[in-house]
Amino acid sequence: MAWDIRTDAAQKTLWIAGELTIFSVLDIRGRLLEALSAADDIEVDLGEVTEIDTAGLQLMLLAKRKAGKTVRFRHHSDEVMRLVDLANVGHLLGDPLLIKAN
Amino acid sequence: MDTSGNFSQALATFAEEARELIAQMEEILLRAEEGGCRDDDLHALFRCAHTLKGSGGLFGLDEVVRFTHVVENVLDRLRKGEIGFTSDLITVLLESQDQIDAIVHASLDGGVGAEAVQRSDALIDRLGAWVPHAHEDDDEAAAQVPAEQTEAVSASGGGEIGSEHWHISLRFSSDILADGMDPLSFIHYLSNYGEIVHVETVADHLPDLDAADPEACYLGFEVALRSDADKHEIEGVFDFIAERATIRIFPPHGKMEEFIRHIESAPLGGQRLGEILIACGTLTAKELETALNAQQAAEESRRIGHILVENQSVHPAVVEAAATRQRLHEEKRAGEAKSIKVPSDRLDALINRVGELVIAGSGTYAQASRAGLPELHESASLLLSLVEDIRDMTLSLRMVPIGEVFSRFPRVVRDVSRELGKDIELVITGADAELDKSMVEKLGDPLMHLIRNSMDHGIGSAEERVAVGKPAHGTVGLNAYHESGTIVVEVTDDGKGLDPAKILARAIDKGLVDAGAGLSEQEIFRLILEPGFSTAERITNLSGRGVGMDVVRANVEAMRGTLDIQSTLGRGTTMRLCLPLTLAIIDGFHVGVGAAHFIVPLDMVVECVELPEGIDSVDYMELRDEAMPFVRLREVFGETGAPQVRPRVVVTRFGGRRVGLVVDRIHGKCQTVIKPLGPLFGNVPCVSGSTILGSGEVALIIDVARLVHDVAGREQQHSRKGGPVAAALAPAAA
Amino acid sequence: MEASTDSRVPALAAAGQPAKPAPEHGRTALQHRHLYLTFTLGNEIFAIEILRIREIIEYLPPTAVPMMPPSLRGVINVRGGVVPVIDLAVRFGWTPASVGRRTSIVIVEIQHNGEKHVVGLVVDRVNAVTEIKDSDIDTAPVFGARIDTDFITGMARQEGHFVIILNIERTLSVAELAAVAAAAA
Repeated sequence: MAWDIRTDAAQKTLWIAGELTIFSVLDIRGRLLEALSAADDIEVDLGEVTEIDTAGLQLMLLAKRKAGKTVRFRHHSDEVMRLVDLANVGHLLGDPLLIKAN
Repeated sequence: MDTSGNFSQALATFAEEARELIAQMEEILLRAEEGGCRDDDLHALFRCAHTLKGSGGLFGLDEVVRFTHVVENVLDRLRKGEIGFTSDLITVLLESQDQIDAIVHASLDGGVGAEAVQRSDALIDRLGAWVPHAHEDDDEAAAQVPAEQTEAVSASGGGEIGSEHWHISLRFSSDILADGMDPLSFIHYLSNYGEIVHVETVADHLPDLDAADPEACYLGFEVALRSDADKHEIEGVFDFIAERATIRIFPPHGKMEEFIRHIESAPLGGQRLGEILIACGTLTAKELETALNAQQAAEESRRIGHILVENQSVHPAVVEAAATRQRLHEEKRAGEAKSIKVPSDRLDALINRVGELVIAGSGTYAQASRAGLPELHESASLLLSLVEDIRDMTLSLRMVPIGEVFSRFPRVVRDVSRELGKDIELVITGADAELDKSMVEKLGDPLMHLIRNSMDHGIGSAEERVAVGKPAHGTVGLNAYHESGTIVVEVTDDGKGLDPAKILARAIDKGLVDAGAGLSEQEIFRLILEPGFSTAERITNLSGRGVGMDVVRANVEAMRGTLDIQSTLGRGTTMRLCLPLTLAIIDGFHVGVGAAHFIVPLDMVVECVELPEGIDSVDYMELRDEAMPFVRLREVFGETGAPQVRPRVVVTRFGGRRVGLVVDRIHGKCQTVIKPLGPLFGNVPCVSGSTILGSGEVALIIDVARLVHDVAGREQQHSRKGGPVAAALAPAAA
Repeated sequence: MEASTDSRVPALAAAGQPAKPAPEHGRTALQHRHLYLTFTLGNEIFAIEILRIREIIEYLPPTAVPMMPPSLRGVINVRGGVVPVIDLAVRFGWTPASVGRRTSIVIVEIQHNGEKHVVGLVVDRVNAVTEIKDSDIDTAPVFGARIDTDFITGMARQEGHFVIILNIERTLSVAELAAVAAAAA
């Protein structure tokens, strides 16, 4: 079990790889706050998220609750999509989601 | 969404619970056989089967669900008074309970074989006699659902709502995520029971990202589920998070009042929750409006139950049923609250830490004594005695009533007496005497053998018994009590008793003793514990796997216990097991050799004497007109520290032999917490473990049996050379 | 005075607290720098990954266990547990470590048959906690190391000298040590 967080030089984009779960949310929240202190508007790329649980989903929702800041998620991996669908939180997140044809 | 880690943990919890439930079923069934079964027993019995089925379903143990379902139906009829207990029914139910046990374990161990399925089928057929239409089982199960629903919700009365799906409302304690539970995976699991129509994630309580603890749970879920499952099955899905969640389940066409209450109790405020319910399709907008109006009305704060009864809309019996149900549930919860399950490794960690505390405490005490300040000395002494109290209390946490192991024997005695065609009663006393959990686990086999032995050999047939003026039915007693820091377990029978003459003749025949040996009666009885004495016995189904009494003795001695036999010919026999309360602590005798410290188990120590002068060249001394060999520990353990001018000899006794251990210093008695040396030291001879002394130093515990054995062995090897025995024991690596 | 054998051990010296054991879910797998504890033994500097280290204690003579090989110095009491102490020097085939003012026992955690075991290592002195980048580690051992290459994960250059990164599982293979012990008994 592991995760990795990368940012571009401007800290405008975060890439999360591996786990977005109870094990990693503390760490990832810290990095989000770090990035948000440098920029008002950041993007988080979830293309490489291989595992997500309730805590991970909750963190996505929390990220939307930073006064005066905007966090957008993109490239939701299949795992992320599955949970977003199950919990029916697409509208709460408000990010464009790629809906795959079956 | 991988929950495999939690899953295996949950599975272990299930296995443990299943074992307890099955034991509870057995206990009730046996009580029923004696006619001592109360109404609440019948409910308990049903609940056992029901919980087993529900939890089994959660883990997808299909065979458990299939079989237990039929058992549950029979038990359901029993509790409703539709059928009554008969001897046949009890026998089938006992076998069914064994079958549940077997298939639970087979399922957990990888799968239920075809043979087990056949056994299930055979039992289902037999159970069919008590279920009118066993083959229409599913119909009945289905028919049962509305009945239960009515019972669950009718007390609140009111109008039905239109929706055709279940509505499940979930709120969690904030630590649920950190505790390793993943709520969405449970919701996902619901899809095994039907179609998830809608999920509404309640994110209203999410704080700002800065303030949030991302490991705490702020979310709630409202789920609409279209399913044919019954309420218990749906509840079963959430069994493992039930303690950390508020779960409300509303059946299809639920009563309006239920939703009113739900809406009332919602911390969100009724309006918001109402919207969610509409989003789920559970309520229509019109229904919501009605509900909110009713909410106003309800503030007149009269209990709905009363109103409904007053209005004659609900039969009082229904309210009574609901109240009883509630009361039973509360009683059950109260029962649960009396004990707390704790993983044993956590307990062991606590015991370890408290052990350290004792060590640190006695270190402080020693320092304080030396400081020469009376007040300091006094307070350190008080502190130490408090800490020692805590240690004793902590150790007592591992103590469980011996009844845990006794409880399996009523069944054994029942089955065995049927097989033997003897009428034997088991009388259990002292089941609440406590001993260490690890001992309980090891005590089962020896007791099983002793009891079977009593039934098989001790108690004669009814004719034999009547002929000597005894009641036709025999009695086997199982008794436990504490005696000076040990626990005594007695297996008694009122049978034929042991015949010393016969035993002696047989032992002589087997070459175990000389014909001329003048043995006391006690010594003769002990012969039945010798290896080789019982091997020629007919190996019956009953005396187990052909295990002799010698194995029982070996098991008992491995627990540092003793086995005594008392018997009066024609009157009966008592086998008395005397065991330490725990394997973790022994009374030790602390000695010093050079700079090192050693512990000799106190029960091996007979006395201490001074080493006579001038016997440097021999390894035996005279003690009360007998020559006693001794071992110089200094040489055995290669100690090089300054020797004592006048060494002491600790006289030990093991297996009838006396052997002296020559040491430099004697420190005296101490309570010794045994710490295993670990895999690196698996082969250290003559040392059975280690312990930490009050000073913080590590002392090795001497395995006197090994040591004596080695001394004897080497003595024989070296006697021709005439060299000192101990030299042969000196470290090979040195 | 635990863990204070050298003032440059800030991460471990705090109030003599044990270093946190390795978390089950590390962030190490995808990152490329690791913290190591370095120590001196003989003329070499060694490093062990910090996650494996429980604590460092001042040397105190262990209780000798009879008939054990010289690489097993005996057992000590570490926070209420009985912990075997291994003379690394003997394990490397050198002469036994002599005890000096800065001799310490490094308590490490190793895995054996799925269980955690705690073992103490006698070292001449503890140096520092230092960060070594994976890219700075040569996997092929450099010539001149006077120890079995099996025990080495790699070598890194630090402040002008080589640091030998120990393969702790190999160096402290419980199976192997137990076999040696059994042979001696």
